[in-house]
Amino acid sequence: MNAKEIFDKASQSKLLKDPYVEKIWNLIGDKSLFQKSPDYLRSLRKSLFRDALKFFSSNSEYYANLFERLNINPKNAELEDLAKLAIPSDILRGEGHKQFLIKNVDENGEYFMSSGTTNNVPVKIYRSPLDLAIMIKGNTDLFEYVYGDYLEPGKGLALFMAAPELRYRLNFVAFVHLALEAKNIPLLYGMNLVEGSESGQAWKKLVPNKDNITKFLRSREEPKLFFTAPAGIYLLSKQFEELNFVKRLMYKLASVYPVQLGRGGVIVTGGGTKGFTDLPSYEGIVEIAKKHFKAKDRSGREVSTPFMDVLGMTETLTAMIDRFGVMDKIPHPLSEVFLLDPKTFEWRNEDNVEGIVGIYNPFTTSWLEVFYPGDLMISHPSDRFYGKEYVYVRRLKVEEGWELQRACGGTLEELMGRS
Amino acid sequence: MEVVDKKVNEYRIFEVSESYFRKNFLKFKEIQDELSSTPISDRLKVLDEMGQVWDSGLKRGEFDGLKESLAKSTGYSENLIDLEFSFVPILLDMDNIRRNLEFSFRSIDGLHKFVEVDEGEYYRYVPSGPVFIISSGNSLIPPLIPTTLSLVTGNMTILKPSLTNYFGVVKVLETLKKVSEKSSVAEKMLKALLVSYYTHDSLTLKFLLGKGEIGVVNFWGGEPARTEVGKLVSENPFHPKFIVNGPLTGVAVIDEESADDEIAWGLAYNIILYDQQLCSSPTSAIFVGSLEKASEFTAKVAEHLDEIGGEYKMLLSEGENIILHGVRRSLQLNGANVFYSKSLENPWTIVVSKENSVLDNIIKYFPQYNIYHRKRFIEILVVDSIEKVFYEIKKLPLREAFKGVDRVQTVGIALSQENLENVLEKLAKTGVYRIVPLADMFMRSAIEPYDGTILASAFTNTIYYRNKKAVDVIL
Repeated sequence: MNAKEIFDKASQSKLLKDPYVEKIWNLIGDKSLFQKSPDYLRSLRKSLFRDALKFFSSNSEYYANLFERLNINPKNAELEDLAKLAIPSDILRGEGHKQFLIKNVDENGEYFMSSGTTNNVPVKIYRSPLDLAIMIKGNTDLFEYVYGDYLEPGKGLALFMAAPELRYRLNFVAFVHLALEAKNIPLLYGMNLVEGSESGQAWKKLVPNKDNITKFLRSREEPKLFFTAPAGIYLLSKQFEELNFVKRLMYKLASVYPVQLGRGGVIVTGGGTKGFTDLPSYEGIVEIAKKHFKAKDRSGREVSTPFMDVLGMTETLTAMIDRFGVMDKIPHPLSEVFLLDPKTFEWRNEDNVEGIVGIYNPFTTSWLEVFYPGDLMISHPSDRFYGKEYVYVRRLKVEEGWELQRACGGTLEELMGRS
Repeated sequence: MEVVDKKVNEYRIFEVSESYFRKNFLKFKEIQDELSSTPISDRLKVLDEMGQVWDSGLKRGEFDGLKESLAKSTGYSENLIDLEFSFVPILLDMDNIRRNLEFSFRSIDGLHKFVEVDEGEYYRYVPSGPVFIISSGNSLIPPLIPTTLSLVTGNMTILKPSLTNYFGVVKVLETLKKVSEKSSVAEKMLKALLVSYYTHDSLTLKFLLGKGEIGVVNFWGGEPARTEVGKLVSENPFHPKFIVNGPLTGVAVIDEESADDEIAWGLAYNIILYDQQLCSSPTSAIFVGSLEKASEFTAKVAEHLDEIGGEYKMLLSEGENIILHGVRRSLQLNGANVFYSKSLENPWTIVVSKENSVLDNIIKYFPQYNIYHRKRFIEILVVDSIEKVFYEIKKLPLREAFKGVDRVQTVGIALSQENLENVLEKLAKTGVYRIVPLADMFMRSAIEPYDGTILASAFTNTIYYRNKKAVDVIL
């Protein structure tokens, strides 16, 4: 589905007749939310939470029973009750998400998946057309808030260091693709997915699409938006760093180096380290990349190249986004981001201490989207709309992959192998 | 002794070399011959003295450092290690071992001479060894049981402990060295004992299993090592006996008539002991009765888990904690009644499910939370008839949540007399090995077989001698 088809299908959703969904649909397009006070927004989220509990109780026997069992009453529920409702992302692996979908969920949506690990099947999430439309709206508004400007439709060029096939698998790629498509901003994919087989084993790998990368680097369109994993921008910058004098001169003559992102140009990272273990810190990556990627403000004055980082998980409809040196990660005004005590999993109100991050998105209509993915974050007070900003700390360490053997008196640790 | 010097993690390992074994198999036979000719009562006395030496050392606090390091390497609480240390003299007790042998052999004197078992007919039990014991796990007692029985039956005994129990096992067996200073029989037994660790890719290990002049291989553990070891043993030209003590578990069966506070205490105690890592530990329970009664019983168990578990503290890693929380939450979401402790040092969990296991529904999302990692966790399945108990016990090894377990070893029962009379025969046919009172599922009587096998007999060959013509004997 392209963005237009998504909005067409979303507008035909029967769910829009429900007052709660209608309210959500109107709110998600309301940019003034980004100007509201933290107290106003928190109170709005509480009221939406109570409405959501009613909505899901009447549209799902599962949720009705669950709320009753957990003693959560839609009439007087508090946001702190989210700690009781948050599900571990593990339970969304494989077909796990199905059990949470409401009975009359809109059909013909899309599935997104996480990358999975050695021992675990990936998290797989269904997104109805209505939810996809909400995803586009919510993420675009949040992106523009953090970006600090409005993305003018039809202007500029984007490069995503991913393969086009990933648009239908990875949440982050889909949200960038659809948001840009809705804005009519052309997007180039900087990678190709190559499939093959060797001695019966199927494999896939990503290789650079040099034509698209060169096209982007040479383009004089403004703004140029560069989406990549931190490793992508680092490796590219390192290549520039290692150019000898002659090559550097040649690139300069070909208007490729340094890379001009133009007015409003930005580098947007996301997706974590992608298995690279020898990357410098994010600050280090930004520092090296700024030497080779240049950007200007609206007036055409050269500025320190803006960097944004997107924390988008498969399970969440909208991301948390930061802008390096300007603001730490911030969620959509309607999302309730909360931290849980890493030991007891109880609600934690304090700032500046590590907590397990939980996310509740009241605008997701197909299931009650409240979960904790297993990441540690720290919050700190902020004078922006959300009242708090968040810093990613790390993923919680879960030992996996050890094939232990049971034996009387314990496990036989030395006769194990990695699966 | 020729050794191979290796490094594994923080350990430096000296493996006995292949060439040492090649040169010494003949000597091993001589050692066996000599040991198996010494009176059995003398051998028993040596073991008993070992127990006494251990006991005095324990009282003098000689093993305090070991206790600390074992608690660290095994994850068990120091109190539990204390308890295990206190079992050592019981295990080595002369009377206990004698009882075991008396129930294993027609006459234990047959272990050092021919004994007449009928007119003109004699038995002599000779060592089948050398016996190669591949032990496993965190605990001391399981590897010491076959080692003791192998030694006392006169076998050259080659023991491979696990990395975690190595230092404890060696410390116990070192008492033999001390006893040997004053006893020639103990000296012979000391010569008949060879303890060494071998890495899983060890050439010596492969040689011993596949080509060594070994009489018995006693393997304690599960897959994939069991199959790998089995393959090598099957190729061995000396055709050793292959005795496997595979991964097993325990089930508690309670009916509502018996579900009193004492039984609740027993269940809690068996859950806490060894953090359910014994083959006899209850890792699931079946409650015959109503959900209401089961919940009442659970509340009592919870109380005792708090109390007993508080004395045997355990530590949860960050990963274990997040998985445990995820599991509890997912069980609740799936409709189970979940009772748990918020204590991080005693993180017990009881799940009460009606008729169908809720754990089975969620285990696929938490492959890490397999039976090896479930500690202080039990699901009580509430059923309405005793007949369902047999079905559940038979089904258990096939369940994803119990993947890797061969079968139920121990059924700990707390049943009314009427129910008990109805179930005993049927339980025996479910494939279980032990049916014992729930209160002390972990306790082994001296005369118990090991997972259906009489180990002492398995470590010997019975030689038959007749001094009359067959026709005279028959008539």
